[in-house]
Amino acid sequence: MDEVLVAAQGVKKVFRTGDIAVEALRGIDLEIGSGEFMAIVGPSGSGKTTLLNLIGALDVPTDGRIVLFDRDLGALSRSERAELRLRSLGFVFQAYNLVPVLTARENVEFVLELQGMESKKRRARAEETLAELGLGELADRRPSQMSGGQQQRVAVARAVASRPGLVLADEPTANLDSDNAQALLQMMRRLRDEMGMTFVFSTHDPLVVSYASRVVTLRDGEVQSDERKDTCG
Amino acid sequence: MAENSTLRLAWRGLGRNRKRSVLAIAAIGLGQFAFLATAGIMRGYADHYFDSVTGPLVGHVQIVAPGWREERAVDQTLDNVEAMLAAIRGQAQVARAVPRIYAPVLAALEEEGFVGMVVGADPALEGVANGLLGSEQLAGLLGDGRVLVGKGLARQHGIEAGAELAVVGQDIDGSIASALYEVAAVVESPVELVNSTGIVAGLQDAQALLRMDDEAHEITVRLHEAEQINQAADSLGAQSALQGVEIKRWHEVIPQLAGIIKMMDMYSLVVLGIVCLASIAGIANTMMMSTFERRRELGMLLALGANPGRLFRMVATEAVLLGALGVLLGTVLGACFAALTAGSGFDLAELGGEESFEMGFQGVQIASRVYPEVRASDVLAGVSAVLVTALSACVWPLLHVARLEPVEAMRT
Repeated sequence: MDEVLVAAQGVKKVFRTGDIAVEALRGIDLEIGSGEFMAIVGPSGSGKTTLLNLIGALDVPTDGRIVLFDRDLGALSRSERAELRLRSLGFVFQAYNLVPVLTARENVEFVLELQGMESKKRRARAEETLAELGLGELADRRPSQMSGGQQQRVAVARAVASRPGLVLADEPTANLDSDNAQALLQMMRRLRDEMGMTFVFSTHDPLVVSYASRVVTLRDGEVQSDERKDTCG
Repeated sequence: MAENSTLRLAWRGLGRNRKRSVLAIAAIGLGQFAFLATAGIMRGYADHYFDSVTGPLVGHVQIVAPGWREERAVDQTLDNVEAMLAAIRGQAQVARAVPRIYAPVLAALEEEGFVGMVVGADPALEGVANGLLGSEQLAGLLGDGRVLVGKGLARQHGIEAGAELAVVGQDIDGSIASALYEVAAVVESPVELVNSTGIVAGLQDAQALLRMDDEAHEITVRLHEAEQINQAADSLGAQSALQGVEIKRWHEVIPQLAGIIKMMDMYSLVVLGIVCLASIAGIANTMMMSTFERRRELGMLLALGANPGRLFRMVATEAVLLGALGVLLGTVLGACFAALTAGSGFDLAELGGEESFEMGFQGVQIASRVYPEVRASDVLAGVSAVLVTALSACVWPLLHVARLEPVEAMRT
């Protein structure tokens, strides 16, 4: 494994609703290295999304420790975690989650603007990224004027435009047909190969698993298996 | 430059639910219009009352002998009036100083007797705008035993021009005073007192009737700028020629009307308060709905790394834009109202299907027709109120945003 980007040690997460406590993660130990193309799989309720949220600094563990880009997430404030997400992570969500009143280019520019990139530079970067993903002609369209596959590709463009070290994708192909899903995965793998980005997916989709170079299987909040593949996709 | 998208998102956010935004903008706009129209009408009335009061009858400042206002005794006169007038007119703030005499009399036209008020007026000073007579031609008829009779008094007792009018009263020494005057004309004065009881005589004729020398009952002072009343009253009080007299500001002379004018300002403030409430309701409801509907989107933006402050600015900018559009609409409507009514005025009686009227109150003419005056300060007051309201109205949505956890928000 190359440089370690994520190190989870004994990570537990308990959700409480009134007197009822649900243990979503029961002590996860996991390391994710730079350049991995990794799928986290498992049945519903196994803790995939919870783990992805913890790795993405969107939530904090009840117990255990997560170190992300050499920073202990448990020691960071809410705003420090937001800053870390902004600077180092890219997110692709299941339901695209684009801002509906912004065009494709403006959606991509949004994160760059949050990072403080200068106007002309971020516009050029957004257009360049969209073009790289074959979305150049859709730059001025709003999400409602695009297909589901196109919207998900814009979401990927937004996630990778700032060249983050780690891209987290939660069920990215869940709403796509197999052609669009395949195109999306090929595109992300190309980004991994060309830009050295690390991708981590939570998924049910066998197609995603087939593309992954490493598959971590969760069951009942624990790592059931951790398999590295020599060939994929 | 870091926040290009805040304004863009806020602006486009208004278009997410156009009907709701249009309704909110219309409500705020109508509120601003209602405020401008009400403030304009109230100011029109207040200015009319103020001019009516301080113009022909009371003036901005009044100078009388001590106690004259309360007792109105004929012998409570100002002495050395010419010296006083010279001192008053020497003040830079003073536009006009007019001596007057008031004497209740019994008048008789042939065999009929009635009560009247001889008003001694200087023809050279009362024929101008804001004078008792308001007409040089009428003022020119005064003097040498000729008098003018108020329209109401004339109608009541059948007095016509050319009639001979005998008056009997008491002079300043307590002796019987009498004179026979020729009615030069029947007049309609802007002053109700003159219309209903006035027998306007030349100042010298009135002085002769009451056996006054260089005396008068009051000197009415009108200033170049009404705002200088206190300053002018103070400097007049410092004049040696004016020692031992009462110097009263107009609102001390007729505090009831001053109270009415003040009440009108308060009424405008009440309307402004109602506008604020309407704006709060409109904006708060719109922003609350809009924020709840976007909970998932806001959660996603937080997940991407936007800090809550950024989302605050987004929501607040949207609220301010909503308020600004509403206030712009209301201001345009208000400006149209002002433009349409500035020349012809606005008759509240006609609005209610009644005939236009004028009535007297405390010696002052009050008309149903008003000339609304909308000022830039009203627009600014409305704009400020709505914008402050807009920011206040989004406190609740902002608190909601502040509590958002990205994971929770995106799950909804």
